[in-house]
Amino acid sequence: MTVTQNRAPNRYLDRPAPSSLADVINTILDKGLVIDIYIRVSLVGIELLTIDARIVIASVDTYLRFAEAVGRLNLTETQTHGIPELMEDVTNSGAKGKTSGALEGAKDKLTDMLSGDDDEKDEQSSSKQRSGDGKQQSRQQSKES
Amino acid sequence: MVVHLYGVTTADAPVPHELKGRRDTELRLVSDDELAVIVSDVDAGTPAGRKDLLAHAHVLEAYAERSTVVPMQFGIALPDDDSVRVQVLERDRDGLEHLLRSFDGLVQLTVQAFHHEEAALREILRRNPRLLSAREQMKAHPETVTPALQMELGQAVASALEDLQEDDRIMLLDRLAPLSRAVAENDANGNHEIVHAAFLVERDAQRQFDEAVGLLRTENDARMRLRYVGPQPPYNFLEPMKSGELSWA
Amino acid sequence: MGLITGLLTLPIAPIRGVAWVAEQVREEAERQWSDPAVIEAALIDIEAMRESGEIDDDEADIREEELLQRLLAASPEQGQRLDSWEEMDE
Repeated sequence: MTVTQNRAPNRYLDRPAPSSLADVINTILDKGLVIDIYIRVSLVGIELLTIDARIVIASVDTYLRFAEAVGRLNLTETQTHGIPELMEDVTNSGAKGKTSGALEGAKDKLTDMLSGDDDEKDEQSSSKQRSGDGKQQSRQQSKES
Repeated sequence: MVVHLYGVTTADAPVPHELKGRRDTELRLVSDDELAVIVSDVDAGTPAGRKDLLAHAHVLEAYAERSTVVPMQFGIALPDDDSVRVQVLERDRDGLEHLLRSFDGLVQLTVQAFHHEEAALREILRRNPRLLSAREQMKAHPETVTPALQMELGQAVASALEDLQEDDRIMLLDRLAPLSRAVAENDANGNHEIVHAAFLVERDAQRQFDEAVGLLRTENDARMRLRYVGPQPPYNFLEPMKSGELSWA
Repeated sequence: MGLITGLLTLPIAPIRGVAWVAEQVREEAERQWSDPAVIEAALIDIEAMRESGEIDDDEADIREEELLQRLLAASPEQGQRLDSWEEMDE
């Protein structure tokens, strides 16, 4: 996307919106002052018990869906271009013949690909720790004087 | 009738024009010299629906535009004004004053970002050539694709998506955090959420923050959807302020 | 990985059986019914549909109300607080 003119951004379009119900359930239901004597019961949020099996069910569903979604993508030639060596290996091994030996070979290569280390990933220095261990975290900016 | 409580502000806070409370009730203040509790009278036992929640939030946001307001959680009601005075104003006056002073001149602005799934998938294929070639291989030879292999691919995709989420989360925070006094993140939601963060920003500096968000939107429109909400009372910063986790040196 | 492998071979390993799987799926569905994260995501979708005009305001209101009641029903403390207040003896 090329910017052809230097325009001051339209401030009115950038203004934040008022809360919608999606926001409200995250704020006024569990954040804010309370008065103890009129609140009999704990206001701790809903605790979700997860059994491994449930995580597995959710994961199986998700993983299969991702595999399907990625398979459905319509990629242009330019998007698959650029990894000539790998592509060559792939198409060569596929073209070797219809014997089960060749197919076995192709499958092994695929598994290797998926379990191998990704060079790009190693180069990225981003932290992999997601925040959110059940509590909210705040960071304070030190004020520079 | 009971007195529904919205929040606490300073007694001299200007009253927002034509603002109504829950069930279209008239807002009024229960105040003393320094502090004022924003209230309205509702029928006892009034069940709460979406309109009530929205009204409560919007009353607070109307005040937050120009004044400091400490929000009450939704659903706090007292029998009469006297009990409001006793239970709110007198009970912990020092605490309330401390909060109002600490948040003077500040507003909360909340940013929530999501990936568009298809665009995110394209991006991870772009970043992960091995994933791309695995996909190509599987499409070229569907007879080799077992359920286990599909699962592996799906898992690899899920993992790459998480990495992309984290990269984008850091990018957004790096751009916006410097414009704020403090940042508090909400628990991550699934569903391609990248970040859901509350920023404590100086009211006078809101416009710069607005522009930064607008710019991020423009730059990342292809891959993400940004929700931007505010100005709000400092919902996410009350507990940190009370506990001392957040303080102004 | 071990768990996932186990589930995939389920039809072959009769020990847990189809009924167990069905029960897990049902419980998961129930959990999602009132999962705040799921409800929040659904509300955000409704907001988007409202903005794009895909559904009209009245329809959006009705759906939001349904989701809200699911959320409150799952959390009896919240529901109780919203319906009435009681004075506690000090």
